Amino acid sequence: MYPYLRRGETLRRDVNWFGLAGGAAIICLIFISFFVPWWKLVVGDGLVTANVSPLYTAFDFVGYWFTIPLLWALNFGSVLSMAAGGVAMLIYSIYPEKSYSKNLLGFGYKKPLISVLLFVVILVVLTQTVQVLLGLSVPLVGSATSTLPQSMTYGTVVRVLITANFQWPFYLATVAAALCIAGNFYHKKITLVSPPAPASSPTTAKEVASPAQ
Amino acid sequence: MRVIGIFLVLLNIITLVGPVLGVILAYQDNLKGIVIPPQVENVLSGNSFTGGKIALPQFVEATPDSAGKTVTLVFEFTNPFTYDLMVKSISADVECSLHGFKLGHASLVEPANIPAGATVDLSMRCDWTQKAIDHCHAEHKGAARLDAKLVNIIIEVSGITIQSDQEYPINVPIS
Repeated sequence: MYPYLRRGETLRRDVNWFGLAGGAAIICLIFISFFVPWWKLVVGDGLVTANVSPLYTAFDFVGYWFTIPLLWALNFGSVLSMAAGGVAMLIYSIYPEKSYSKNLLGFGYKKPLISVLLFVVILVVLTQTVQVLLGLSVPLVGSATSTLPQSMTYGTVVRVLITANFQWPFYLATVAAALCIAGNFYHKKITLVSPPAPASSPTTAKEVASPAQ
Repeated sequence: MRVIGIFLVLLNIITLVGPVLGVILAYQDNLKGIVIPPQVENVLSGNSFTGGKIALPQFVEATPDSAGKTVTLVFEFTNPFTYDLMVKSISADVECSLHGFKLGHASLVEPANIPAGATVDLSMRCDWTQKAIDHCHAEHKGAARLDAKLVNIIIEVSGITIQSDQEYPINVPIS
């Protein structure tokens, strides 16, 4: 397994700590996202609430919770994809010198980055679309008082306080993405410093462990 | 390594496409339900509220004070939602229905929390202006009661401000 090991050398295995932390962060993020959203929108004093994340999305309309099947499917797909990415990152990080490690790294490290970027882009597009189509100002971060279109309110003027904010799992996702990217860069360092196999008469790890009598 | 690479690509596709296909199959008889499920339709139509449809507060009674300068208007309101409502303020101008003369301004006595499905009395206090008292003496001499209406109604409930241009008829005692 380690043909370059010689008598007296210690068995040392490189671990990609950035990748390991990134993989663990992804797995934690998946569980946390079921309970705390990445982005939360509140209309009025909690009259309407939207808990949004790439992994779980639910809406509360005056005390009645529901989700949308298409969103649920996309969320479930994201959960599976992120879980696979997290596991791939963990396996890769423990065995970064294996022949398949580069495949695992390539598969796993982009997952949180893509999730974070896509999530922000979709939020921006959705809030802008609502503003253009309905004339309703929905803040991405912070509070705004918006007037509902009178076509929706039968001539009555209805002003609503809308508050939206990113929640801490979003920042955890950003940290996970950063760790995975750092893991990708660190992988190059690991592959650069790995000692080459000796050209002739290698001493196997087994021989080191059980020297000839 | 090629096998692992292909496996990971397939895994990517399956994890993203699989759930969507599953939902499409589950809702194949009602594809609209993928975006607007029956539960949401119920919510939007008001059928899942605890007490039926949303209804305007019902005028119950008006009680004048001993000096005849103010009147307390009582309305009954049922919260149809499965959610507690907090009525922070209600304000309106009171006008004489017959002459359109402004009699005074009414506002909610104190903020009221209305539990889900509960019916509560909301009290508004209206202060008559001196001109209103003069108007009653001049135009409604001898009348015990007066048909009036609430106009410019502004309601602030659970962070939502509703400004209505509708008129709300009431009947108040005058002395």
